[in-house]
Formats: sequence, C-alpha cells, structure tokens
Amino acid sequence: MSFSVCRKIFGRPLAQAFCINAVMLVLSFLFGAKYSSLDDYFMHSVLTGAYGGEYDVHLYFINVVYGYFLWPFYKLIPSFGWYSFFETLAMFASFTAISYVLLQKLRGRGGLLFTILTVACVSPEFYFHVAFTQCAAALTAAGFLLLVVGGKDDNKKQLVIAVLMMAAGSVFRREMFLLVVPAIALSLGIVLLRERKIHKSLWVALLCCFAVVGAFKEVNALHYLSDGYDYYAAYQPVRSMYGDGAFYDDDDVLDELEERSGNSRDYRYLKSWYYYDKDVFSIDSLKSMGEVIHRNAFVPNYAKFPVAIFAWISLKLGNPIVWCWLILCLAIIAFSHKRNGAVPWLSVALLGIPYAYLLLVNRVVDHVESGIWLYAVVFVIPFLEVGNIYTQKYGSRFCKAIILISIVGFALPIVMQKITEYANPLELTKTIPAEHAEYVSFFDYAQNHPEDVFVLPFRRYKNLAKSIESTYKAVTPGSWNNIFSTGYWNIYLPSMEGELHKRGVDNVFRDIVNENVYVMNDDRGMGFKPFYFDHYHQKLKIDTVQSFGSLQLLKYQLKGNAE
Amino acid sequence: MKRLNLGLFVSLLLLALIANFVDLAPKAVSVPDASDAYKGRYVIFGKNRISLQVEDSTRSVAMVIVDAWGVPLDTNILAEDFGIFNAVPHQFAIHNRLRNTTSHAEGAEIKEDFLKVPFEQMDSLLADSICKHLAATIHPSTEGNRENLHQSLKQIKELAEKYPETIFIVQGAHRPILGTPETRKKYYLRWVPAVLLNIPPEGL
Repeated sequence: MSFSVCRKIFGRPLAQAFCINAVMLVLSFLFGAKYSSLDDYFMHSVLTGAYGGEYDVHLYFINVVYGYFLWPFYKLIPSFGWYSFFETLAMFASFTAISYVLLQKLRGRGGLLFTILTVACVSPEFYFHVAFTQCAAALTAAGFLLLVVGGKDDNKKQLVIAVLMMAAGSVFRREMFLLVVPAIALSLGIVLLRERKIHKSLWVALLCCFAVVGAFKEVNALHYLSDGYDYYAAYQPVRSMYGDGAFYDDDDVLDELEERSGNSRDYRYLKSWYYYDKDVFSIDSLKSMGEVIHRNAFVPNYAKFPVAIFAWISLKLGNPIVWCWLILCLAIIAFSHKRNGAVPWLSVALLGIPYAYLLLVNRVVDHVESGIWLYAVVFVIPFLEVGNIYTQKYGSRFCKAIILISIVGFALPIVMQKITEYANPLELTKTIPAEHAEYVSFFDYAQNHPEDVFVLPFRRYKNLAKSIESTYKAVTPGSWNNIFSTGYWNIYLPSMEGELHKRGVDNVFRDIVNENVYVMNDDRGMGFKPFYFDHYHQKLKIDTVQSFGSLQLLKYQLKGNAE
Repeated sequence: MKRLNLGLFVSLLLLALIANFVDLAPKAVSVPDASDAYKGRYVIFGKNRISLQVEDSTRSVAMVIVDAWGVPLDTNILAEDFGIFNAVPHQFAIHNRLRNTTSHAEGAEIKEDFLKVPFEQMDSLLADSICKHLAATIHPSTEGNRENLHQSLKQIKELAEKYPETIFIVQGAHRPILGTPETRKKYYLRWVPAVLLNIPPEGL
C-alpha cells in the first residue's frame, strides 16, 4: 500500500478514532477487564440462569431490553460472556464517537493531541472496568456530545446515532442517563443564545430520545407486574434502606427501636445483610421499621453544600479524568474565542448539580462520580474552538504539557494498581488468595451435593462469586442452584425461589433446621441462635459438619430433638 | 479579560489543591457538647454512676430516674426544670451517658446495693426506712411533654421535702426519643440533667 493511500484512509477522522480506540480495546481484553462490582456478575448470572438454568431478562438494574438484545448471541454461543463483551464494546463505541468529534472539530495535530489526551486520561477507567453504571455514563456522554455537535451542524446522521446511544445509555442505568439532563438543558440554552434558533432536527432528535427512553422504561416495568417478579421488584427499595442507605442516624434508630420494642436485634440483622426470612422480614414489617428510619433521617445542611462540592472537586484532583477536564478548560480560556470564556465556570456549576443530588440521597459512589466527570469533559468539548493551537502564543508549550499529562494519566492508574498489588496482595481482590482456593473447593462440594441447600452470609456469598468469576465467560446455567445468600438484591428471584422449593425450603431462615440445609460460618460471628429464639421461640444447637480451610459448614438443629 | 479568566481559574485550581491538605469535609451531623454550653452553671458529671458521688454512707439514698428528661440546647428551659427544686437544698448538674435508652440508664445507675421499686411505693418504703437504697423509674411522658415532666418533678420535690434526711438523686434517663425528630434535636445527645437533693450547698 502506498503512503498516499494509507494517508487517505488513516487521514480521516473516523479511521483515526477507530484505530486509537482499537488499541484500548485490545489492551482491555489482554489485561483482563474485570467486573468492578459484583452486581454485574450477579446480573450476568440471572441472565444465563445460574438459578434454574433458564435465560432470564429480569436484571432489575439493567433494562430488560438488554436481555432481549443479548438473547440471540447466547443462543449462538452459550458459554461466552456476551453481557460483558457488549458492555466493553459499548465503551469502544462511545469513546470512538467522542474521539471522532474531537478529531473532526480540530483538524491536524491539535485534534490528535486532544483526542489522545481524552482517551489516555479518561477511557482507561471505563475500558478496564466492566460496570453497568459506567457503561451507561459512557454511552450517554457520547450520545450527548453527538447531539450537541450534530444539532449545531444539522447533521442528521449524527443526531440519529446520538439518540440511539443515549437510549442505550438509559438501558444500562436510567438514573445515570437522567443525570445528563441538566447538561443538555444548559447546552441547548447556550446554542439558543448564540444562534437565536435551534434546528428542527435537533428538537426532533430530543423528542425521539425522551420518547424512546420513556418507552424502554414502560416495557421494563411491564415485566415486573406478576409471577413473583412483582415481589422481587417491590422488595428492592425496601431492603436497600438497610444495606445501602446511609441517609439516617444509625445510633438514633437503634435507640428508638430499643425504646419502642426493646429489641434492636432485628435491625442489626438487617444491617448485616441478614433478611431472607419471608415472614419476619416481609415487605410490610420492613416498611414499619422503615418509618422509624425515616423519622431519624439526616436533615440536609444546604448551607454546607457549596463547600462540600468544592471539597469533592479538590479530592478528585488526583484523578486523570479531572486532569483532562482541567486541560480542556484551560485550553478554552487561553486559546478559544473569548465568548467561550464562561464555559469552564458553567461546567463547574454543572458538576455541582448531580453531586448535590448524590449528597441528598447519600449515594456518592465511585462509578457514578466517574460518570459525572465524563459528562463535564463532554460538556466542554463543543466549545473547544481553539483553531490551530500550535500557531498561538504559548501554544506549542501547552501541547507539550498535554503529551506529558497524557502519558502520566494513562500510566498512573496502572502503576498505582501494580503498587497496591505488590504491597498488599490481599487488597486486590479483598479476599486472601488462600481463601480463593477454599471457596473453589466449597463450590465443587456444592456442585456434588445438588440436593443440599447452602446458605451463605452476604460477604461469603460475594467472595465466592469473586473466586469463581470470569468476566468473559457466561455463568454456567444452574451452577448456583443450591447456593443462597442471607440477603442480597437477588433474593426472591422467582427462579431462586423455585430452586429452594425443589429442595424443600419455603422460608430460608426458618428452615435452616431442615435436614438438608447447611449454613456457612459468618466471618464476623453473626449467627442464627438469637434470631431463631426471638421469632421461632426455639433454642438451636450448632455442629460443624465440613471445613474448607477457614470456611465452615454448620448444621443448625432444634435443641429439643437432639437429645 | 482572558488573562483575568485564566488567573481566576488557576487560582481556583490552586485553592482546590491546597484544600486537600486542609480538612474541609463537612461533617454530616455535628454533635454539640452540652458541657461547653453549661460549663460554670452546673456541675458536670462524667459517665460514671452518680451514686458513687455519695460518700456519706450513714444516710439513705433514694434514686429516681426520669424517662425522657434531657438537657435542652436552650439553657432557660433547663433552668425552668431545675427551678422546681429551688426550695430544697440542692445541687444541679448535667450527667453524661454512653447510650440513649432507659434500660441502659437503669443498668448503669442502679447497681446491686439498690432496691428497685415502683415509684408509687417509694413514699411508704421511705417511711418504713427498712432499705437504705431505693431506686425507681418514673415515666411522665415519652414524647417530652413538659407539663407532665414538671408534674412528676414536683412529686419528687414533695417527696424530698418530706424526707429531709434522705439524699435524693434525680436524673434523666435519656433525651426524649419517641417524640418528633424536631423535639429530639432540641436536646443534647447523651446528656441528662441530674439533681442531688437534701445535700448541703457546698456539695458532698
């Protein structure tokens, strides 16, 4: 191939964007992109029928549309982890789109430079972690960027892709998609102010976007109306108050519960992720305790929010995504048309809105934060009208700084990861490597005793998943048939309940005294004796029947019978 | 204009960098300390049980734990509560608690040497003076109703006037918990008022 042909192909922005991101994609497959939270593993397991062996689209956090989309692929090659594969592919599509926009707007070396900056600093976080919230953020961000740019240029092709990407983003996590709405509003406002009008096709695109997102939401809701999926869905917000919620004063709630009923033990069990008792911890009983919780909710101190937002930004300064945003803002102020001078400040304000919302619901989570910063990066990109940056004063010095920062931004997370691995091998997977083997031998044991039921405390349940998971392999259908948790978001899944009934269990906690039910020891010493006495008025005795290193299988029995 | 904008942005960046070395994190809930507000006004008792303060073993001691009597943020309100006991030789104090339940207060204050009795029987038992250490818990109002509280406090005062030889230790169990959160927040966490009656003014 002659040089000029190469130049023709690779000179085009789309090809360049494609190649740059293809490198990242290959790296992510090579270095093993991993699940960054077990939620994805367990959703994958619901999909491929880890309980019951049937394909099930009821992922709850992810829209059923994704489940339907993946169905033909799983039919074709059932053992491949299509769920994770497509999440990674979604990152590739999103960052290719973002790179393309950058290269398209800023021709030549300048465009290449900013693209490399963005991809090097921002994308590793997304490529190397398979996480549905980040997937949602990446797709939404790319769609949002295409919407703004395509809307300004009245490019219908870009607008169509924008709508598709944003709709896809909403499939992975609707709430993450909703967090971009303030940015959309602000961008539209700026366009309106400058151009005095908005192209019809942009309005149409927006309308379509919200229509499709709304339609997806309705389709999803229809799947949780009956057949046990209604209870499964209704249970989620109620139990999350105990496991995930931190919007209330724990001590106050304990005090009040003790003053009222003299028993705060149930609350302690709930907070330790012990709630798979359909009678004692039914939705109704949890709701009434929930009333006590709501009485003790923290009152937001709105006056402190600006300081909190500032403190958060300052905290995040060590993150390469933030460096990218800073460089883009500085470039806009220093080299762009002066009408864009206010953009970085608007971006700071825009950062504050979703963060304030997260503070209010008390759910400031890593993945969502990365998403918010990606939205900030993508918000400022359309205003990066810097022309040929090299010809401007201090331009080439600035560009050299960008190269340096890109290298550090890309290498830093990898180096940090290696350092933590080296210094503290336990922290990497949060289970001691020796325990990995213990969990694997337990898992094999469970597979060999299909008639028995194994109840694992929440942390054990998660560690088991961590020990046997493989990101790009489908979770084997039926492999979790007889392994259950004391409490997690997947309880009351109809197929899980089906497997329990098949083995003679109707109420997990009440039936731990059944002959075939075994409980794994809790790493923090929690046990069932007090609970059983409180609610079933029986004393229990415990025997250890099996050990896997530090993991023990316990058999609970009614004290009376043993004599 | 560009220079100004750039300068402002870079200053913000530097400020944010420096802020990393300063503890800026706003605490979700700041716990005010009653001892700061009431220092100098009343005696401050730590978390140890008050009966340890009574060294005179010849005298009998009657302890009354008052449910839902807390130390309010408003110093005037506590002055009103204490005011009920002005006629009796007294010492006013605020007392620190480790936990906020009645059962904890009873467990912490009423030890082996005390006999737990219903409050209604306290009068006759003191008259008989069989037991030297009596303890009772009284429940004027669980929600922090101040009229009911004052009524109960008056009853205790009358009892103390009737038996001037007996030392009375009157203390709150915890701040009003079962009332509305607004009521609860008007009181300090883990502090209760305490009154020692029939003791000489210079203390024990």
